[in-house]
Amino acid sequence: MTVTLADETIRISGAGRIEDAETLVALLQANKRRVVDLAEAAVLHTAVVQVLLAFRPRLAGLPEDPFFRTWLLPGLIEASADPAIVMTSAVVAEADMPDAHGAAPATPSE
Amino acid sequence: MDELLEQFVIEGRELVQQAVDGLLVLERAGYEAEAIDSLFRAVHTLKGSAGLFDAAPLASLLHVAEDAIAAARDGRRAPGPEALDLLVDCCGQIEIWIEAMAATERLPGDAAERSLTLVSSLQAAIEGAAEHPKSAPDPAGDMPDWMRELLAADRQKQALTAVRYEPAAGCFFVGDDPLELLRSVPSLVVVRIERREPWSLADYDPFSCNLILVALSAAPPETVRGLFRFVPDQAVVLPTPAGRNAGAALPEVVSAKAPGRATEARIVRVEEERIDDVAELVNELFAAKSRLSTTIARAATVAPHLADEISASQAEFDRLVSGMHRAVMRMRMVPLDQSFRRLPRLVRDVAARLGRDVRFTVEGAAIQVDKATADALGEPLLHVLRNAVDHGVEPPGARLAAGKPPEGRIVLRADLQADQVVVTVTDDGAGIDAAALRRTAAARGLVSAEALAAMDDDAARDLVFMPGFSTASSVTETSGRGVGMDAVRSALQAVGGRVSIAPAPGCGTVVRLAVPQSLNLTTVVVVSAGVETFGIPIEVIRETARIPRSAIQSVGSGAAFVLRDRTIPLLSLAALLGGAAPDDQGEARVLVALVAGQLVGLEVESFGARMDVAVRPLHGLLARLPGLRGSALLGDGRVLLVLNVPELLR
Repeated sequence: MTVTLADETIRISGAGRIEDAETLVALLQANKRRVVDLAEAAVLHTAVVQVLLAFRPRLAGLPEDPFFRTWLLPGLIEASADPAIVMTSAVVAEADMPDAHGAAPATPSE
Repeated sequence: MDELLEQFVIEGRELVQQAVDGLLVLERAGYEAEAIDSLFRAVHTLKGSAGLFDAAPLASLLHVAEDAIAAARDGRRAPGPEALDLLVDCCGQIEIWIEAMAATERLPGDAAERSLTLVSSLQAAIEGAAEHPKSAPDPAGDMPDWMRELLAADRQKQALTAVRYEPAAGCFFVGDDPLELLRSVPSLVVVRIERREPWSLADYDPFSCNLILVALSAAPPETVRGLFRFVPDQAVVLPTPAGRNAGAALPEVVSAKAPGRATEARIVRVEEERIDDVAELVNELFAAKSRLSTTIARAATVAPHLADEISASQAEFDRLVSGMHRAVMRMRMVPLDQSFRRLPRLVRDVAARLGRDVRFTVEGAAIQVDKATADALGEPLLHVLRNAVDHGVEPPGARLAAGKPPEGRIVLRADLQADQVVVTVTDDGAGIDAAALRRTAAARGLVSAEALAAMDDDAARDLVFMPGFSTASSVTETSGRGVGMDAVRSALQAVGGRVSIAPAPGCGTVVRLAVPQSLNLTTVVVVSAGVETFGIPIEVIRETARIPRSAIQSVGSGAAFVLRDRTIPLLSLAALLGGAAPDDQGEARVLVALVAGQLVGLEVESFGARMDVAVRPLHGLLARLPGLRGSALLGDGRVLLVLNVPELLR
């Protein structure tokens, strides 16, 4: 994977490996207002997801990965009331289950 | 019927079946977590749904059944044989009640009484079992807080597995990817991520894991535990307590199979007729498409340029119609499981009644076939299996005497071979006694002594398919219901299938049923007889031949000819259909058909094209005409009658 910065947008593409967490942290520490674009990201390593959970940058594009969209994305968008709990996602009733491959909730950055 | 009740009836039937499946697994294999979980879920869901209706006897029976299952599950053991029998009886009773509710919208009058009897027997069985020490502590008492909180986030409310995984801070260095591990947990219901220490963004250490992953899954605890086996010190996997939220709120009725839904195909129930309507329209589109070819050919003579253009759009049209046809066919596909599900219970019941010990296995139930094919296999299979238990597998004593294990085996196996589904039922019983078959056939006067003497064993075995044949010396409740194997054969022939019987390798018998995977398209050869054309399904045709008149001999009132040293009777198709036999010409055009193991020549006036047609069953008066299988619409708008040759020759 590569982590690139262009125009204050950090773009993560390909499989997010553990080394990329370090790069991502450096870019976010330099400017917390930077937007992270995940549109081209594949499966992200826990270390990378942890950075996103800790810094909570604004997100642009979303990865295809249905696991990310179903289980991680809701927590990345909504802050939890309890600071110790980073996020909770549950299968919601059938009718309003977001399609794991299709329309995801709108990204908050746009 | 009220929509809610209708839904209940549909779901109820499936849930009872699911419960029975679970019970049969437990009976055969002893304790199996997956089976008992599935059984529990079925009964639990059913109980919740039953509470919506005025059906107290049903609800109380389900309540006790659920308790019995929960007790067994928490004790990690299968219910005892007595309890299993009772639970199977309960399922049978519930099935009867559901059908009664479907028919009359309420329970039969004796429901309360029957419920009471079953409830008290079940309670007695549970109390008997409760004297055994429990091997697992009651998990409800010491439920950790994290599990309690997770359960609150789960909206489906059923038996689940909870996991709390606290990866070591240095886990990244040893190559662990905790989320990757979580991702591998099947049927996730809830995921929660906590942090161990508050974030310190200024000196954030990207190589230290600060997360705690907590999740609920609908997969059994064993499965989840297996996934975390390499990090046993970092993960806790626990089953959630049984009976949680008993009688919970009811929207779940519709989403009983909720866990794992994110990856499962969503199901919409559609009445079969509605799909058939679409299929019929698509078939007509096919016909319209063929008519277009004629138009293009005509246009080519007057306006070639325009014809090319139409031709190009026709190709596109072609592609779309074919795609649509495939899509409709797929809509009609169901797994064979739908026809197979009730069979294990049937075998169990029949074996119990006849004092046989039978181990029954089913293979290939996932094969998808046209709904009509699945339906067509249902009744014949019931009959073949009853026969396998009754006439195939011997009583345990006789088996032991013959040096076999007392438990007989019956294997039902489905395979796809080209466009046919082949279902075989193999037993390891005594096999078919061809001599006994000959004696019976002679005693019943079904076949002449000469014909019997000329028969080899294969042909003699085929005698069981003759109408009026039954080898059982006394009429038994199980197999002697006046329908013999001849009924099986004609039921299958009606849908273009075949059945045959042969000795199984080693010992026993194998019955083979072959049916087209999709009943809608049939290859026919178009023939003319008299002034009309008919379609003859290709599966009965062995060959076509031109026979000089001089080679046809009169045999009594009929005719016959010799083909490669075999004498084959010759019939006129036109005469069979009530018309005049063709005039003597130089040559007879003969279609050689194989019917009930015999070659028969059918004289026709001409052979036409071979084509795939969608055969529709006949309705009304025509449906009662023997010898007709259905009709098909041809490209030129004509209707082709498709013959059922075996029936025609009967």
